[in-house]
Amino acid sequence: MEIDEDRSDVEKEEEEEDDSISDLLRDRFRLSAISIAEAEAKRNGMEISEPIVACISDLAFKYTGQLAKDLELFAHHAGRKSVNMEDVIVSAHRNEHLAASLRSFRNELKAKEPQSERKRKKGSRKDDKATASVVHIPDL
Amino acid sequence: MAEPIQMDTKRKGVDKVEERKRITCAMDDNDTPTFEPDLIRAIFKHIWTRKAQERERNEIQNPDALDSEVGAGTSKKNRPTSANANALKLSCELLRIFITEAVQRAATIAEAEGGSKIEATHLERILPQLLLDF
Repeated sequence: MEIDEDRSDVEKEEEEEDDSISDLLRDRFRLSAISIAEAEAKRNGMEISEPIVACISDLAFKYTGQLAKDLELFAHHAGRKSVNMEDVIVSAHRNEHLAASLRSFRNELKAKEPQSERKRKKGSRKDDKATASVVHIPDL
Repeated sequence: MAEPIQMDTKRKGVDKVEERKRITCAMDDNDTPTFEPDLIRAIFKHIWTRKAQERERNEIQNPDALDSEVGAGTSKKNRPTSANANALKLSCELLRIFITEAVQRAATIAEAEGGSKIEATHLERILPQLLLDF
């Protein structure tokens, strides 16, 4: 009985610490989200009200949580402990434009790293072909 | 829900806010704001460590036959998941697109109604499809 009480106290402490870390992360996340949202609103010639940005930010933060769980599952499913780019692209499978956009971004990242392209023997030729053919970023 | 960040709506403190944004927000090549990979890594790590702790707790409560051979709590089996640098950058991009899409779609609705400000009703209307797409 006593052991169970101790454990729940430790768990409670852990939970509180968890929550405060989570709040801190959410605040940092929100700052970036505000920047991104305002820049995009400006690009569309619109103003965006504060509470709406906060709403979008919190939604995106929750989405990030889901994304983390999905990525872990995909990596684990592939027998890996470490999430790689392919996992992220798979997680965007619901919208083909989104997936294509991410693939372009990935190809750009790979293009910026000539050293790793030389090291990677498997499939590097395939990737080079893919980089050559992706010229545009599709509209979402 | 926590109150939104204290931003001076009369735009007096705009310099301070701009500075804070410059410190905390990454910019990509085209000067578009995006997320800091470190922040996204911290968020992922927070969730993955918690999952690893849960797994360890479940192992202690329900030991498998295999575990008793290897020994409880071996770090080899239950290391928290990690992400490589490119995966983080890609995740930052994905999240940036999430926010961009939300704003852009809501802006389209607001524009169609002849307004100049994105409001809650605009966001509401685009939300279902947004969540289906991501």
